Amino acid sequence: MSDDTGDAVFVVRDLVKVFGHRSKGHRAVDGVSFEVYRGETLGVVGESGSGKTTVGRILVGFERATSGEISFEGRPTAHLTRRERTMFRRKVQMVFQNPFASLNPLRTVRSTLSDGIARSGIPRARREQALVELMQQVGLNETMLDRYPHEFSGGQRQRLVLARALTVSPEVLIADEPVSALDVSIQAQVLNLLNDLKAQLGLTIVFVTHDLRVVNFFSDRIAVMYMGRLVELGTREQIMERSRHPYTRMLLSAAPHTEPGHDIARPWVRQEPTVGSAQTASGCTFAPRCWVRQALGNPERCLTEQPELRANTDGGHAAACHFDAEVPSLAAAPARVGAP
Amino acid sequence: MAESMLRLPRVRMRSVPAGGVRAITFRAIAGHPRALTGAILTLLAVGIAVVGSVWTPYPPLSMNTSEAFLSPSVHHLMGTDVYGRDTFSRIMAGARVSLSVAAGAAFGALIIGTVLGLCAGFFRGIVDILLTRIVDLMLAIPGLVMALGIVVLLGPSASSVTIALIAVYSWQFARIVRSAVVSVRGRPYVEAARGLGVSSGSVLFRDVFPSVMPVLVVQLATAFAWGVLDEASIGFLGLGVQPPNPSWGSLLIEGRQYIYDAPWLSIGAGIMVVLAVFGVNLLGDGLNDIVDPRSGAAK
Amino acid sequence: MTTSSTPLLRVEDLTVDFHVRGSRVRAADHVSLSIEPGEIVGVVGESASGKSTLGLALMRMVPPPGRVSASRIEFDGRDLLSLTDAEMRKIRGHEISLVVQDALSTMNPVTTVREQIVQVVRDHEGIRSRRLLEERAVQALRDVQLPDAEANLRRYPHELSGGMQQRVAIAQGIILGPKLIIADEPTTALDVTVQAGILALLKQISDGGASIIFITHDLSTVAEICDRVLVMYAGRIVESGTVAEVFADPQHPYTRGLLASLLPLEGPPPERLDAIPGQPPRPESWPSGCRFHPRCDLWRALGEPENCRTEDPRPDETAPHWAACHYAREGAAR
Repeated sequence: MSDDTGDAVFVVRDLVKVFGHRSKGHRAVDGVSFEVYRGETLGVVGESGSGKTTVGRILVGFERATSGEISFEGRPTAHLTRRERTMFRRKVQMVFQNPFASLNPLRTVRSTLSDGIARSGIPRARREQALVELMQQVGLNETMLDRYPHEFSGGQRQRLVLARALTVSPEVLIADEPVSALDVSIQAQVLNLLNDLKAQLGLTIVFVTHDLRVVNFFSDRIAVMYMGRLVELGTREQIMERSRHPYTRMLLSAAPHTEPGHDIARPWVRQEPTVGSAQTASGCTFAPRCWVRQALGNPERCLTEQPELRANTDGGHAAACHFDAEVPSLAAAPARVGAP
Repeated sequence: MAESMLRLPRVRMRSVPAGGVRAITFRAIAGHPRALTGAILTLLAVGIAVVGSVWTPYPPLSMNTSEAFLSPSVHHLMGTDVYGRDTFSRIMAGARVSLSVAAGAAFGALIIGTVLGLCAGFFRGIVDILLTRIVDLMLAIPGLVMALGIVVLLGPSASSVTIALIAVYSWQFARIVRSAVVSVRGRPYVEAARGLGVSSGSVLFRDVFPSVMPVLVVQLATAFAWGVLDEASIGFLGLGVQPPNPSWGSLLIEGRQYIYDAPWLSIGAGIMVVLAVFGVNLLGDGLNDIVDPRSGAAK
Repeated sequence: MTTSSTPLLRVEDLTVDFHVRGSRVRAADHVSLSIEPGEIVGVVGESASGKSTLGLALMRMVPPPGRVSASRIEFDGRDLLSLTDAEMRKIRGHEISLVVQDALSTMNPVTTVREQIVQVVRDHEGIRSRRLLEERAVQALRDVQLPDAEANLRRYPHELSGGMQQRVAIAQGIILGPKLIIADEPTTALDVTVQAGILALLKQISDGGASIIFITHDLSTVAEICDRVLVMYAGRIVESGTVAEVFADPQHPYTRGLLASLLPLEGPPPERLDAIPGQPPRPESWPSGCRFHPRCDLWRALGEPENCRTEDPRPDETAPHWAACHYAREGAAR
């Protein structure tokens, strides 16, 4: 959990992804900029429609950005030579969400893992040994090598997915909801495993999820996304404990409490976005649901100007809200926020 | 990590279920009711065809009008037809023609259609657009018309019928294979393989194609069934196997005329067609199961 | 919370067996529970715990080859087991409703929202007047706080967001005023902000008098709205009590493990999580004796006592807070 100003593995600038026709398609990612530093875990949090999964897939290379720049280790990914592309493929691996669809049901574990082993430069004679060690590394028995995926539980399959990613000795893992489909008791195991692997192998991890609890456990820095835009960026502490964006505060309060007896009075979690709800073309995307805007008496600015992601004095903590400075104090006195 | 490899009470280790093409063994088929039934029926049909090409109870072509329309009896297992020819002999003789035309058409269309479908589905882009348009165009032409045209060009015979049917069935295969490929290539495990840097060819062969196979097997069995019937239609129009040479299809057509007086021609030929088609379908279904490790069919 | 009134639902020894390929697989094993009117009972469990099967069994909707047997399933004074299919059908949707996880899959994609809701009323109450049905439909959407009722009635299910679809499903479930709602993971697939709204809605419905069986794998949602909680593991209930008691003083090692696995939302995270080792067992291979013992850290800490391996714990299920563990007291003391 270091706070290194080390080199940036990924630098993303003004990333835009539109599905469908340029002008009238769906803007899944709408101008996102951030860096990923070597050795850190960056948690990307958002709900459905936030664009977080798309960002993850663009980083790995499964989708191509519509516009914007991404550079990996200093080189723009759009202009990699063949050789560099192969290197990139090896260094950046994806861990998928659905453990039941991520493994080919018609291939044995050994066959699936051998795809990567064959590419890892390990001499043939050592490959079997490498497979066994890999299985042990993810906490599985080597007798499982000759079995088929459907014989394993969700948690075991997710370990296999991790093992597959590790076959090529990557440096960066992009994990898209790796534990969401797992039982609670297994989630803890897999998270521990990820932590161990991260420490052992010095991995850089981009962790995409909707679950704030997981992001709190696992991230050094957190990026919060809403409707394709990055609304807040900061360290774990800054985001979880001193958030300056109304949406993040809303997410934090919406998460169910683990202590019974908490009152579920959440005056600001009332409206849900309806499909095709009217959005002002130039205003803040969150304005229709924003409790801060309401508390401040509907200032004009929210509807006319899209807020930029700005950092403040708190070392790198950036929020995209015109009134970010007032968010913490407003959040501390929820009684002031009336019902819609 | 030791926490996850804990000392569980001894769990009985089931024998490793197998899968893949290597799982198709005599034992596997014998243990699978559907596959076994299908295999038996198919072998029966093939057996009749093989035997029928060298020996039949009566010469299939010899007429004896005094013996016309005899009901099935010990002497004539399936009776006789309008010219006094023994139906059973004709069925045996016709088996070889029918089966080889149907099988030839099905397999030929499989190969061509699969290649087209794989290319279109996997490589997308301009290749896909072009191929799909061609397939659509071909499918728009009525199959029988196209087949007849080809047969006329090549001259009526069993092999020209086979070629004609291949030409007609390939497009259907292509379309089905293409959509199967498109649905498989979007799956995470295919993406993961490409993410690992596996070459397209290898991904196609190891990840995409095995998942497409079940669809192919089913379509193969269906095409086989249609082959038998289409061969009959073409024969009926006088452009296929020429009378008096028998084939199941032509027997069906003949039998239609006399269905009230002597239904055993139709029934006899019909039963054979049903048996062969049913057998091939069951076998295909069973093989699909055996090849899929999830079904637990292969042990 | 006295039990002076008769419970709305009383279940004794509910067992669900599936006969597959000649062998018998037991999904739920002698489950007993009771529900008072107006209370929300959470049923918490992981995969293969039997929680979903339990919900289906109560509605006699377990698909064949499943077979349900019980000493007693008494609902509102009636024995559900002795009812004919026709009688049971009248109860479903009317007195006992089911709300499932994937709302969209329960709705007909080619009919409007209005039609989906109205059909329930038409089938059960025989009302034909369009005006009356329309009124009921609009009221139903208002009851689930779906804004813009008239417009939404005209829409098709796929045009609604996930949260709205779930609200429509709930509307279908409550429109006939059922006494008991069985909600099987109703918020699992939803965004957390949407989930909060649905949970609040369910609480409101329960405040109106209905009882809810809230089936979930997520302990935190249980803490939000449930009065009591039943923890299920491998087909059995392993702990039962009020939410306050179970969360403050869990008596079963599994419950303790589940609570420990809950990631905190506030404060610095732990270095390492206290994970329960191993996997939840499948019904085909349930361990002998106490089904949790192979994964139980208390069992190991006590030197692996033999009775955990051979004897099924049989606790006193009449106590307000009980746990199926031979060493519940020792465990709590640690």
